[in-house]
Amino acid sequence: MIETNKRTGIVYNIAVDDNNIQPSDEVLAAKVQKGDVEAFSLLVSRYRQKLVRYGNKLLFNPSEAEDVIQEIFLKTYKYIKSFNADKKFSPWIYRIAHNEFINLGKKRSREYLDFFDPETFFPHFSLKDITEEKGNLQVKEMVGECLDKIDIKYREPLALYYLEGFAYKEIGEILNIPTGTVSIRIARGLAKLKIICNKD
Amino acid sequence: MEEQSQEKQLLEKIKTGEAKMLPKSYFVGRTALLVVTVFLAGILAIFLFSFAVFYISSSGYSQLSHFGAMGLPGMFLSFPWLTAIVLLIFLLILAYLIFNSTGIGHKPSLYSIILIIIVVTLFGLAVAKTSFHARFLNRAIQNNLPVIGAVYRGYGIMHSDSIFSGTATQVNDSGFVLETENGSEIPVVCGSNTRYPKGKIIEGDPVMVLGSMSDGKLSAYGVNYFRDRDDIYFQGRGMMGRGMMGN
Repeated sequence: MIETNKRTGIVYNIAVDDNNIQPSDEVLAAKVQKGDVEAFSLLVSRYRQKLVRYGNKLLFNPSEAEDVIQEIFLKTYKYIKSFNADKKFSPWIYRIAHNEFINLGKKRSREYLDFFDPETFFPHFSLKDITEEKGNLQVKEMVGECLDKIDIKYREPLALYYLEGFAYKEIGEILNIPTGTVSIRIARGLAKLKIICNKD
Repeated sequence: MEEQSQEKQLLEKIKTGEAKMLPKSYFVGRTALLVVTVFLAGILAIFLFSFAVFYISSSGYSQLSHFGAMGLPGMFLSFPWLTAIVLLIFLLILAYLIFNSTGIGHKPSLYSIILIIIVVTLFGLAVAKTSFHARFLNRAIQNNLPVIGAVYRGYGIMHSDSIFSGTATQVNDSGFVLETENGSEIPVVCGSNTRYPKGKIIEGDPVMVLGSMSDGKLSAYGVNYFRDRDDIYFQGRGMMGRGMMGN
C-alpha cells in the first residue's frame, strides 16, 4: 500500500493485510523493531501533530513543543525494542513525550518540580466515572479554551482525557501515577476549570 | 516545510546510523539487573529488620521497660537507631525500584510502602524466630564471620551511662558485686526500692543493672537476670562490653 502524508508529501510504502486495512500502531511498532524504517516514518507521521498539540497544552511557549518533537521521535526509535507490541502504542509514546516536555519544563519553571505530591502519595481508590462528560462538547470546549489557566498537575490529565481521548488507566501509565490519582486530578481540575471559565 | 525537513532529517539520521535503536539484550539485561537489585535490597531489608528484632529481644533491651520511667532514657539511647535508619533507606530504595522502575506504572504511594513494610516485617519476624542470628553472633564472637561480624560485635548489650552489665558475684542481702567482662568489679547497692522484674538474682547470674554510680558504688534502681536461652547476648561470651562501665 502506498500512503502519502498530505502535509509533508512524504510517500510511504506500507504492507497492509488481506482486507486492505491499515496496520495498527502496534503492528507498525513491531515492524520497526525488526528494522523497518518505513514503518517508523508512518508512525512519525501519525503522531507528529498529536504530540505537538499535547506539548502546546503543557508548555507556556507553544513553539518550544516543535523543538522537542524531534528528540521524542529519536528516543522512540532508540527505545522501541522495549515496547511490548501486545500493549497499546499510544500511551507508550505519550509517556516518552511527557518525560521530554516535563524535562524541558523543569528547565524553564519551578512549576514542574513535584518531589512530593500528596495526591500521589495518598491515592484515592474511588474512581468516579465521568465518561458522560467526556463526550460533552461544552466541557471539551471549556477544556480547550481555559486549560492553560490552571496548574499543570491538573492541566495534563485533563488534556490527555478530553483532548487526546485516553482512559484513566492509560493516563496513569503516561504520567506514572496511580489510576485513583488520575481520577481525582481530573475531577478537581474540571471543578477548577469551571470556576475559572465562568469568571472569564 | 519545516515539518517535512524535520521528518527527513530524522529518517536520514536513522538510515545513516546516527540514530540507533538499543538492542533487546540491553533491556533484558537492565530488567535482570533490576530484579537482582530488588532481590538483594529485599534480602538486606529483611536481614536488618530481623537483626533489630533479635538485638531488641536478646540484649535485654525489652527488659528495660520493666524498670518503668527510669528505663526510658536507656531505651532511647540503646535503640538500634543506625540499623533503623539504614533499614528505612533500604525500604525507600525498594519502594522506588519496585514501583517506579519495574514498569508497575506509578510512583510509590503510601499503600505500596505499607505493603513493602508488611512483607519485610513478616519475613523479618520469621527470620528472627530462627537461630540464624544466634549462629551468626557466635561466629562473630569467634572472629569467624567476615564483613558483618563487626555488626554483631558492635552491638552487644545496650549502651547507656545508667546501664551496667556483667556477672553477679558475692550476692548478699544488701547487694552484690558486678563483675564486668573487662575484669573490673563494681559493688552494687540494693535497697527496698530496687526492682527485680524477674525475681531475686543468684550467684553467677548474667545481670543487667540500671542505676547510678556514686563514690565507686552503683546504686541500683533495678536488677534483671538473663538465664534464658534467648538472652544470647548475655550468655557466656555474649557480653561484649559496649554497655560495660568505662566504655
